[in-house]
Amino acid sequence: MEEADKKRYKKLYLKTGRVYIRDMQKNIDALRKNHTNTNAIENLFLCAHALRGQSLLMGYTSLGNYLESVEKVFNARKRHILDIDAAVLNALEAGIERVAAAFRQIEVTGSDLDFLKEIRYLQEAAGTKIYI
Amino acid sequence: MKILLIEDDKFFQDFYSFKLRQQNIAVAVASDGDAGLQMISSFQPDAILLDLIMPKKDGFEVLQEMKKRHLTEKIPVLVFSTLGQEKDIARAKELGARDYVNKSFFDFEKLLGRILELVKNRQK
Repeated sequence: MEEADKKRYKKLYLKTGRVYIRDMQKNIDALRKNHTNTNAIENLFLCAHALRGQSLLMGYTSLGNYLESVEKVFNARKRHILDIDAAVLNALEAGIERVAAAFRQIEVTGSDLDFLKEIRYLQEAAGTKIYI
Repeated sequence: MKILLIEDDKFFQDFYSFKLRQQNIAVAVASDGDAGLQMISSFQPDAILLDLIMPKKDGFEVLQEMKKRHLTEKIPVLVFSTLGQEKDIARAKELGARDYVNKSFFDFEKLLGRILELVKNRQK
């Protein structure tokens, strides 16, 4: 994306992205109460998918890569090859908190945060099933 | 030229419709599959940009519906995907989609080229 486009769309990205972050936090809370809540699983998948696409288009690759891992977790759950347990939810909660922090940084400096640690944490919690 | 963009995400709706309109292309936007199917008959687009993963009726259901109505031959559909959906893209092509672009890696020349090619082939 060209710099002029990035400047033009940064505000909309932050606005729509924050709605997805709030929805993700809300749906993680719902999954804590019921690990098989299908609405929460579908919503988390859709939020991660949408925010990943936007983030990659805006050039925030590390953030986009993390959200791809989140999308894979919920895609695996939708296909009934992965159970969402407390370890996965803990990893997700920490990761989404970092996404919110990345948004604060993008707003101020224009650059995102590194997500390697969060990707590894989520992969360790979910296992290799997310790559099937 | 008229393009129907079927995409649920507000950010992508705004970004791509603005870019297309800058090229003097008329753009109509539908936020879900149901609205998109309704707009096909009223807007009569030359081509459709279709997101696959949407709430309510997704892109696959839109393609299935279009196939039933014999519209996929008449109106070319370009799947608007994100990276990592290769299986989905193959399935969309089986359902009649002509081509795909990755909406997360912006290359407007490429997108425009694909749209023009689809519309040109349709007119032959």
